[in-house]
Amino acid sequence: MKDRQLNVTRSLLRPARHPLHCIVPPHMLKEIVKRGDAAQKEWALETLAVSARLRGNREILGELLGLFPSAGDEKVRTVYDARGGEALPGVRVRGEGDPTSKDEEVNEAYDGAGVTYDLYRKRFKRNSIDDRGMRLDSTVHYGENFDNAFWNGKQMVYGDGDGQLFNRFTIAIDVIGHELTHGVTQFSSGLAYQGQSGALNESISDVFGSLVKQYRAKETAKRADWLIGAGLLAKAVKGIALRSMKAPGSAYDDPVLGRDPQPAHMKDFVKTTSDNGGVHINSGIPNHAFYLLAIALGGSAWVKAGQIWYRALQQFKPATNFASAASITVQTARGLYGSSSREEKAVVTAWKSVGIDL
Amino acid sequence: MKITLTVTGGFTGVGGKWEIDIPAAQAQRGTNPGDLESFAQLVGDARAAGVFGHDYSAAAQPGDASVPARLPARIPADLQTYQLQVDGESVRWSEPAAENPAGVPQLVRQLKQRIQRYAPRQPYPSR
Repeated sequence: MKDRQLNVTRSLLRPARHPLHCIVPPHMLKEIVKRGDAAQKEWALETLAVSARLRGNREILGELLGLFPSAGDEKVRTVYDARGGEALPGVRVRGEGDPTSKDEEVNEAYDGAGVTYDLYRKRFKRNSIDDRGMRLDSTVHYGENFDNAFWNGKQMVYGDGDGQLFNRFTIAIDVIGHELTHGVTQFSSGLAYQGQSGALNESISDVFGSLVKQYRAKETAKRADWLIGAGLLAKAVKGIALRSMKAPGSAYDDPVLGRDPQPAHMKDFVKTTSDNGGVHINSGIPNHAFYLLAIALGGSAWVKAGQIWYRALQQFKPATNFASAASITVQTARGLYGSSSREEKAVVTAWKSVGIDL
Repeated sequence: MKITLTVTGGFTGVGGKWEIDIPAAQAQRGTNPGDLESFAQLVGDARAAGVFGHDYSAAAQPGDASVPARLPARIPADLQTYQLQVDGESVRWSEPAAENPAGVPQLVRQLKQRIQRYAPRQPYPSR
């Protein structure tokens, strides 16, 4: 059943190739899914998936996945090795429950996916990325000296880094939490990857990436370093990480990499066409708001601040901007902890401190 | 022939630039002359193949004959966007590639690998 669900998910994400897509009405396609033979079911599911994509409709997507029973509560992690190539997913090198690999990167990807799954499952009651038990597929050793990690809509992909500026991308567990959270965002709010909604998308990934790291270390908000990608920069680089949620703009200042460009306040918001409108730059603003909230509330950041952000994420829409996000987080805090509660006031103060008045 | 490659985005969010002037590099003899000649030849092949002037970073848009109407553009998270310029001509693409049926020509990827091999990385502000 998990394989079937995976196929459906893949259908939702790949380009259309069947000439009959969107001609047969959805109610008829659903009947075919229920009653048809294997080939008919596959065709109907693919057609429904493409139809959902055409409409940009996440409700249809959820309904479609709902045609199948839940995949259950199990973690299903698989790590593949691209062996320096770019074909995905690559060669399967470790599956769920398999013994530790001799390859450090394989184990880091496997373990990091596990901690991320556990945080979402145990603390936010979410059943994997899609909340329906989606498999956690990762590919390591992607490309040649590849300086990046990304979520491609279906799986995580990690480069080895060039060794001069960047180490392997699995070295920091918050990178893994960050990438998996892009999947969570895709299946919940679908925040558009452009401008403010894109920066919010990036910030959500940094927030939960950091929470994954703190959860594994059992750290309180006060003790956490609030750095993203600590350990990822090679020794020669003048910097401590890629981003700092505590002090955006201070993570690195290096002759080759340049200077950390992140703002911490709306007055320094960067207008640019690069990087999809500065999604990795302006994410510093909501990142800092979350940090301020977590410090204000104290204790483990995933307990209250994380809960507010996670619940709010479920209410975000693809075009949600910083101001809308702020408003939704305040409403969420009020719903969870009560009107005029300490938590609600702390959320208002956090956003106000980064230049977003409510 | 001056060749410049820039990258923005990616998980790191750190921009980068690689620049090489082939005649100047040949004069300095820092790089194997044969490598530079074959690099220049590769640029010529890319020109002949008509890759310059294209933006492969954009997802398929409504109106493309090759995709269904009203297909929403989906951008992979943490993608990197590259731009290669040769004497005023340029080509853009993203890694991972956007949903674009045209795909990114292999020649473009080869040019990227070659310039990264021959030229040092420099800062390139994303803003």
